[in-house]
Amino acid sequence: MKNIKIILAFIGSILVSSCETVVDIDLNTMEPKLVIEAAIRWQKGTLGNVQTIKLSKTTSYYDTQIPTVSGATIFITDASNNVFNFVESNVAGSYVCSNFTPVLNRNYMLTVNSNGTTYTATETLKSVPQIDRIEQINNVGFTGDATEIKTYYTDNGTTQDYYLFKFKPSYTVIPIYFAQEDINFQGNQILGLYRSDKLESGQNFEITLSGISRQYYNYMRILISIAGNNSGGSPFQSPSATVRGNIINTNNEANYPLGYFSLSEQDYRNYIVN
Amino acid sequence: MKSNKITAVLLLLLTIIATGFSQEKVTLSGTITADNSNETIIGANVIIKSIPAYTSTNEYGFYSITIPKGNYKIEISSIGFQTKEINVDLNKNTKLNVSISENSEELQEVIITEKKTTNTQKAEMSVNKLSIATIKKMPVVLGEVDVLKSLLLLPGVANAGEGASGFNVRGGGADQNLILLDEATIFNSSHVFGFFSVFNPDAIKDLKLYKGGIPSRFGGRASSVLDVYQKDGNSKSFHANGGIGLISSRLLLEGPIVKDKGSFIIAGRGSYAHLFLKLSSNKNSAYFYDLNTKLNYKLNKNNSLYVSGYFGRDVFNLAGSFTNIYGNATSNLRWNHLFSDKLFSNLSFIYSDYYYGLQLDFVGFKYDSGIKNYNLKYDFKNYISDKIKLNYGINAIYYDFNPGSISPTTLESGINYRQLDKKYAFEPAIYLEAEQKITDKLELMYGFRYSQFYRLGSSKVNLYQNNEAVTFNNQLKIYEKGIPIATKLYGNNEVIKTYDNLEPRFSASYSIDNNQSIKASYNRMIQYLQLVSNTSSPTPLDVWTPSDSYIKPQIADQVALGYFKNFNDDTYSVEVETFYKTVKNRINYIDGANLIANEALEQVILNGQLRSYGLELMLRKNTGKLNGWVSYTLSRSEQQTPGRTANEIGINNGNWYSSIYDKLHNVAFTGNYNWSNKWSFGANFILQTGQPVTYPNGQYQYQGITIPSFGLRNENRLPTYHHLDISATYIPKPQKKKNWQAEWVFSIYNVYNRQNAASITFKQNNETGANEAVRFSIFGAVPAVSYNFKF
Repeated sequence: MKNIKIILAFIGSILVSSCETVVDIDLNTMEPKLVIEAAIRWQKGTLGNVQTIKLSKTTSYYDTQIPTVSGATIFITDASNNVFNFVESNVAGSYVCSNFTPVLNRNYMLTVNSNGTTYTATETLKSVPQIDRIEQINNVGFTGDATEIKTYYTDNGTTQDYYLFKFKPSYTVIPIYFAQEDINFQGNQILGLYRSDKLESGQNFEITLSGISRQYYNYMRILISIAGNNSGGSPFQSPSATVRGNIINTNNEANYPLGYFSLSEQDYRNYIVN
Repeated sequence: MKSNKITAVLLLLLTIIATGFSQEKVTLSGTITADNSNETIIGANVIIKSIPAYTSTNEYGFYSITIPKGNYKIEISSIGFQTKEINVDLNKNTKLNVSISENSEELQEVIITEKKTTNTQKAEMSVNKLSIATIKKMPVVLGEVDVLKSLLLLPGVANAGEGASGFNVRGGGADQNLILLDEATIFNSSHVFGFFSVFNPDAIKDLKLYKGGIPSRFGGRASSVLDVYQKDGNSKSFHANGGIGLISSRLLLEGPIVKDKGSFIIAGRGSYAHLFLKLSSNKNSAYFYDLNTKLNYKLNKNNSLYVSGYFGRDVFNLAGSFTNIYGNATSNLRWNHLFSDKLFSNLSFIYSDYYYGLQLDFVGFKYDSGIKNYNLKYDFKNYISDKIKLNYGINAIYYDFNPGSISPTTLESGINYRQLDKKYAFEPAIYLEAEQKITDKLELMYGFRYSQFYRLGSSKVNLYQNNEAVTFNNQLKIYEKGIPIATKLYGNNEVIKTYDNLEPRFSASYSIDNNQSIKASYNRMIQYLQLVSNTSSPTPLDVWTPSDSYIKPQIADQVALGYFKNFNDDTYSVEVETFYKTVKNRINYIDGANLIANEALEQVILNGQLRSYGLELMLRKNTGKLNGWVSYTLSRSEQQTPGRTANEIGINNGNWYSSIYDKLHNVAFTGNYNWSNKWSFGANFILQTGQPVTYPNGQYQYQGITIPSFGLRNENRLPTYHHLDISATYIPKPQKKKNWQAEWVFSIYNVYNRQNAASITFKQNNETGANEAVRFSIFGAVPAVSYNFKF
């Protein structure tokens, strides 16, 4: 769909006065739901023993404050019955563990106890190849003033793999996510592409590549498609979806929490734009 | 194959023909043509008031009527032509070819005297005809005369808005329209992602939209049939016409091959914005073009041959790093043969294809997809008496689908070559239909179509546990792709799955008096092909896929009831219709479904249903200096995808919800005012309930980004869509009837600069991170001028 957007914007620019305007739209607000952000990330070359889980709630769309959830009990157990406790830090809603032990391809189980309700999820820690190289190409795109950053890595040819790229240029506060599956490049060196006309020499460009599970890949694809900055802005919109993660409310299945319990090995680069 | 059955039906029919003869009666038959070009006229009326009896010409201009011997005054009339009366002394079977004159003020006053009253007697209902002359007068965006956009002014027809491709008929999807150009299926009707339609208005002779009561000769789509015919070309003398517009220019050449026997037509159209880009040394280009051709040759009085073709492409090229090419091509060969003055036949061999190609050099990726079909049709029209006419025939289509091939574009590219499993299918059908006058007041059209569908190999078919390609994760309450437990290989032409369906069709008209009637109809339509599309309007990338073991054919049933009246000496017509339509096996997609280059579509598809119902009103002023119509449609279109078992939640909790085609109110006005023979003015106004959408009902933070949360689907609406467009046509020398004749068309689309929302996106501001609603609108007020000429 991204390509169509490019074309549409292009046609728009030559043919017509197409435009984007911020408008006021009245919105309803649903009953608040618990959001569990339990993304365990293990940066290559580190111990990965400090991990954070965040609890928050949904709120009205235009609110600028996200309500946090304090006072919960959170722990992760692994297949060898090790228990890793997450203790609320002095940042409200932020729970930290400092003795987590990541092991590739191991199964983990998350338990969150909040306001008398127990939530659980299980997931496997996925590995990731290293970032091979980063390539920058200037003066591309329709108007010729965009910059492209290509991040290369090599897929494992023997397994079905799923990847998540996170690009965070310093000119914006919002990271961009990009999920890939290896179906079209099994075993090859492949790239993740970022292109923008706002990239300028000297800016930081942070790149994170994570290995993710098939189910998390499906989840992130939906999430990315509905988070406005990653999609939209064209008449070819996909229908909005409720994104349901892998965390279960064991007391009342219907009142499911949002968010996901994921475990990924990751590789990170802080690239300085030339 | 059911060839035995077909033979049996044909034999039966021949018996009817043989016994249908009556001694005292004689047959009057022939062809109606335009006198200046020999162009055959479709749907011209042949009326014998003294009996009274009437008939009309078929798609090839042929008519036949069997009446008692006698001396008659025969009246011949058609839209845009002067009515002609001929006295005939009929004492034996008679061939009468008639040529009639276009209304004298050709470019200018076609509309004024055009006869377009509603035919109240014919059983045919839910049909709209638009003449090219009418379409050309309508103000349009950027001055590009657009056949498809003009349909949106008709009751029961809507689309997703500006820049959106396709159209929705009576709450159905754009994929449910059978679009035929000279009988060849057009799979994608738009240029530039929906801004313009693929039909070059200069090359089009006639078009007819069937919204209901669909005749049995048509099949294969659930909602409607748009039947478009190209011009044959002038077999008297050489002519050219064309136009120069802001976006594209057109040129059409036509003339005799052998005078009065054969003619050719060739018409081309192309956009040229990219030429300006080239001049400014910009390396990008974007353009579209199309080419229409037709040759026809009259071998003798009983045989004619037609060859026609269409080729269109859209091309986008962004500095060589991004290339996107797509379009349709069709060609067909037709042979008209008169077995007798009562039995007309047409044999067609038709090929059509749609190609889509995308090349992304910056990631070294190339994608090609497409669909080809080969269609053989043999249609008969048997004019048994003035009371009964039979239409019957056979039709067989072979499809070749390429769901996509992916290949690397450079040696360094990390992309592996992958050809997605090609799909093949065969769709044969037979049909029989009678148009019968039961009494002076009651006319019936009844018949059936019997269609079969064979999904053929070679193919690799996935097998799943419990035959479920989509699995339901009961713990998380989400649908997931099934994992195949095995695959089965089918050899060349081996049958993978078969469907067959009987499609009854029925319509009736009861004339209250000469000017008013009540009509009712029922039709069942089967659609064996599905357009895999998950967006608000189709995109050129969308692929067609055949029904198979997992994806079932859509079955549509529609009933309609209508009241029709002409009044004030046929100056006005009023048409009122109600309809109720259901479509079974309407596919829906699981959340997050990836539809492009997906080899196992069955893993993301759930079967649902669609229903729509509504009331359509149309008031038309047919004659006079001011003419046009007002239409209003009140309708609903809803869909449901329930869970397959009690445990499953389905889509939208299994509830009925507004489909994206749901437009509660739809008001349209189009009018033309002939001020003088130099100036005429036109105006269009459209107002539609906003498209159903889903707005967020909350937000949360996840991984550093804000995620909107959504409730049930399509519970909100985009703001009401409306715009007013005006045009003025100026003919500098209206008296000039020879050599160079010209006209200027000035127009303003969306006069009051309404910023209609194509979409509203909820997203974070890049600088502040704050959430906001962003409206994307395509056209503000757009002025345009174009210049048309002919000689």
